[in-house]
Amino acid sequence: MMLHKDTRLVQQNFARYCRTGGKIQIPGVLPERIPYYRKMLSTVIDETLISAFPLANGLIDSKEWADAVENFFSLHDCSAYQVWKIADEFRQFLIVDKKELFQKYPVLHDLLLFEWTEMDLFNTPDTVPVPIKGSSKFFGCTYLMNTEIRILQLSFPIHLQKAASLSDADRGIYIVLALRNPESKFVEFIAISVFHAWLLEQIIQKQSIHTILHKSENIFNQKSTEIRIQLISFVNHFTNLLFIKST
Amino acid sequence: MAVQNFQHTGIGFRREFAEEFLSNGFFRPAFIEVAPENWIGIGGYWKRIFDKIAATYPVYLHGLSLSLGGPDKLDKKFLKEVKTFMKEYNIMLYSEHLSFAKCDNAHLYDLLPVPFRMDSAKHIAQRIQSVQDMLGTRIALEIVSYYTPVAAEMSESDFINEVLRLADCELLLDVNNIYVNAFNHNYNANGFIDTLPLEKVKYIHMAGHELVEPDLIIDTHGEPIIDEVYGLFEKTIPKLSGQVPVLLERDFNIPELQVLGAEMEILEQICNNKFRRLHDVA
Ligand SMILES: [Fe+2]
Repeated sequence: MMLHKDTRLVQQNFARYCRTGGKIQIPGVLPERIPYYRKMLSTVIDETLISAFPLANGLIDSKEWADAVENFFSLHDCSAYQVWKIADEFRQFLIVDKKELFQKYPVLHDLLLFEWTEMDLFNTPDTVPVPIKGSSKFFGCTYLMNTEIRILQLSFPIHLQKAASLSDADRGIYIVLALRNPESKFVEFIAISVFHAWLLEQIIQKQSIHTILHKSENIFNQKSTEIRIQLISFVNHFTNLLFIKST
Repeated sequence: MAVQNFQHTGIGFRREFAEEFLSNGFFRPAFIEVAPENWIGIGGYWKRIFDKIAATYPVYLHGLSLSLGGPDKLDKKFLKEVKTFMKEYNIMLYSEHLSFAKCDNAHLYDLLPVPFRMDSAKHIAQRIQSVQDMLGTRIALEIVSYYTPVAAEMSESDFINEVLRLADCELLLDVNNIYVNAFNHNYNANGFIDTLPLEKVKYIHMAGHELVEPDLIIDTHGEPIIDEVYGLFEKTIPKLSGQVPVLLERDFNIPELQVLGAEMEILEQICNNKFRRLHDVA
């Protein structure tokens, strides 16, 4: 290691000051200038998080937001080289270190997940559609499934109503599918049934139609003919959404 | 009005003007520059745009996160991704900053000044060599603007010269940064440029800045290039050993493309005049 201990310490102190704003004593550093660095770094973090979470930012009190962002930057070591990915690091930091916010704003958990999912899925690398195993035997042609989707389980219907208008009376289980529209490439959210969510998971996990039918009879306790009808309606639904294609 | 085809001048590609840029009838840059951090691993809408851009113009990479001057280990995984990205899009140039952007395992998302010290120069030079070995190509190193010295034990110029001497890399000369540093730290910009190994200059950056206090300029890239920086650029180009690409950087407060095109035209004209003379002399 070429770097002397002392030089390393200087850099550590400089970085620590930028993150925490504590007192700093580094030879040659101009005390009236170094705050510009802290300001510039904090602005990058704050602006990135506001643009990632416009709804969450709008929901919580501005002082609480500012404190949360400051705590995040000083206590959390950001690990992503892509700055946009700190949004998820921030979300996870809040879940662990800012529990009081989730008590005060019960929908916050869902909002953060919803907004992060939208950005993450919007940016996610392109994927090659996966063949639905055993589809040719069942349907007479091979179907391909676009996997640029995310399944969310929410406690509040934030995909239907404004977060501020929701109360404990709205609490429930809401299954929402986020999908990246194959044509526009923008992310859309739609409500789906538990059965469809389960089917999607099975297909993504590369289970064959045969296995899926077999499992679903047990799990959902339905007749095989009923399940088959539902499977066909599922395929039609996702074909219309351009998420299932035949080869 | 005819579309301007620039031979020397490129532009920092921004998502803010992406769509307009693809169909703009004002200018065609010689190349575009992007930060790998903003485009690696991105799919969907932006990949579709980037693929179109990269099929139309040569792409240069200008990194933000490598932290060549930092105490943390180099991110080899990231460098592998850069290498793959360069291959995929046939990218010939990757530049980075003489600064640090990561410390104690935390990314800081900005360019912090390094101590001008001999151990730091050796450390950075060794890291540049590792990067060059990994990528199989020379990188260009940019001198950053800075607002305070940090525990310096040697002059800025000696430090830069030492890094470049040891590292066997190219120099990215950001003329605005030199102007900003000369103003902030009270030295002569032209004289400072004369102390640099100008034969290593592979690439030039030009940008605007903001005077925030009577004795402090912040390198915002949010304003047009000022006349004094154009003047410094004009004086610098004839000192180079050959033609180099020139980039207009504009990251904030982004005006209409036509306005950016007009700034690029000034740069292009200076290049045409000065490079022609350079050629005549040779
Ligand atoms: Fe630059």
